[in-house]
Amino acid sequence: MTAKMNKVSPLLELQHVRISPNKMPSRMLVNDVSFSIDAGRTTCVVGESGSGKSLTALSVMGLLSKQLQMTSGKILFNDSGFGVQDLSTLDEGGLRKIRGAKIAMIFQEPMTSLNPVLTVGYQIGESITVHLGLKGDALKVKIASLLEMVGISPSRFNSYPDELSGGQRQRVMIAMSIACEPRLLIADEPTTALDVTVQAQILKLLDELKTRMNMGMLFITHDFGVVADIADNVVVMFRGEVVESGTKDDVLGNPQHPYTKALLDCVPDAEGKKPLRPIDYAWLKENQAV
Amino acid sequence: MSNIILQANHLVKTYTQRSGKFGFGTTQVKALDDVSVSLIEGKTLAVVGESGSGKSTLARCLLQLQPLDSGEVLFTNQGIPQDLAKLSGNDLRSIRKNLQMVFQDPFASLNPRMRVGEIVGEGLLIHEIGKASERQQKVIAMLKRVGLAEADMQKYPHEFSGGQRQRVGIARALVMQPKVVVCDEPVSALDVSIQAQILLLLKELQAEMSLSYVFISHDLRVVRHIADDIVVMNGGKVVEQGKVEDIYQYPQHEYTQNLLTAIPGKKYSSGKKAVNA
Repeated sequence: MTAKMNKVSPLLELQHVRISPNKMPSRMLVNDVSFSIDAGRTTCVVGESGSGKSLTALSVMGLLSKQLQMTSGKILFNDSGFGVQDLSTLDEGGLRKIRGAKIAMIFQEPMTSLNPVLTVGYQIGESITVHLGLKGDALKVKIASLLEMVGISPSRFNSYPDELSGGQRQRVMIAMSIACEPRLLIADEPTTALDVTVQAQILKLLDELKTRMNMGMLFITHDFGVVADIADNVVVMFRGEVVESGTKDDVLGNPQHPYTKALLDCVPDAEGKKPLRPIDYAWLKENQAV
Repeated sequence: MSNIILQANHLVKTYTQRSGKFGFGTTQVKALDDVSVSLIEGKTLAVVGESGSGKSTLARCLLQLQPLDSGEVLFTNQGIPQDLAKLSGNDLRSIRKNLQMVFQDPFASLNPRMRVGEIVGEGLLIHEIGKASERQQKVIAMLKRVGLAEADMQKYPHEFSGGQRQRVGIARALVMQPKVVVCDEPVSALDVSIQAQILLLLKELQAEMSLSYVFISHDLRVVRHIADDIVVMNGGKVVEQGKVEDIYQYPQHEYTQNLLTAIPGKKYSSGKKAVNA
């Protein structure tokens, strides 16, 4: 970064995003959510199921289901060289230029995201051809280097997804997502379906790639252990709202909001020293915490 | 003084898998390779391992839901050990009320066409325990004990959340007043806050009903909280077993050490201590 860029706006900034069902505009599934992500940093969005964390991620990509709409707010994406644009105002054509090229996404279950009848090499190549126009030998070289980058032998080029393990499939998904060197990577529970040792490897890989490519990362998870491993910043969501956000050390080490504290209290620790305490929703409500 | 209630000796189970082009070949997969474990009465034995380690096969073989290739499963009831693997038909069926299972997926393990009252009461009906009115009283008491209401008897599984369905699954297992409960990843599909509720419920019920648990899990943080003894499995073999504290503090086998270092957030919490403050 150069000195004159010191007033630089964040890579991605969500401002007051609200999402509701078309048929019930008064029901806020995501209510007034604001946070930002800087290049080369990871922001983790944590919450229970139904907290709106996945919807928030999908809205960035313009992938909300047709029954839902973003009723207000801005999603500002700072695309170096092209200035800041509001993704929520783009049409499908504009979004298509950004998806896969500037913002990429990986999902929880790699098998459902991969096409079972195409080789992994072909699938990685698809978006490179579409966005970068590479073909022939140049494309093959690029795919091989991507496979190597995510820790899969390039000889796996012609393998089909069912010939790979869960961890390898997720590595293929990561290779696909970073193929066009995106500025932002959205990862929606990418390690939830994996074994712990594989999870640790994938988290390490994502963290290395983030630093190497100076990518911003929006990481959705429900696991505070994963947050502790990978986050720079943390956003805690509950029933569609952000209850607390800040740096990892602040949120995990010195949580301010009663809900964050309660959520941390029900995470079992590996030492077995801390008694488990489930969240007392009634208490939270009585004390008008949420 | 500790009595062993369930003892498995030298269990072997092999699956035959189709392989090769168009599945014309076959390969043998050893899901259990000379596995021996023992469950102490009133305690919790955790079986941990990654996918494919054979832990779920072990759970199913302990209850004879799957036939063993060889080995014996000794269940001690009223002081008399019996080899479950040798029992068949009616004998096995009548002893099974002492051995119950709680499944991982509360969405798949409850019949969507049955009311909760029927689901929980079905075991009592099959084993012809008590009169209809007594059975109903037992079902109501059990539902209340796991945190559900009497009115929930009339509802169908889809009307409940994941955590509530798991409570139904627990009620179904415990209404039989079993001795041994095998829990196969009972909290893996649940949110962390619900997970804490269910773990505490399982612990309370264990103390009240003096249950012995076999607790299958891949999550070493959960196991640390619920287990007394632990068995670490890899590739169908037991690589290490012992007291929970010992295994967590002084893991001997390289595989156990890898599993423990891979626990997410561990470096952070041990380096900072702050995460659990």
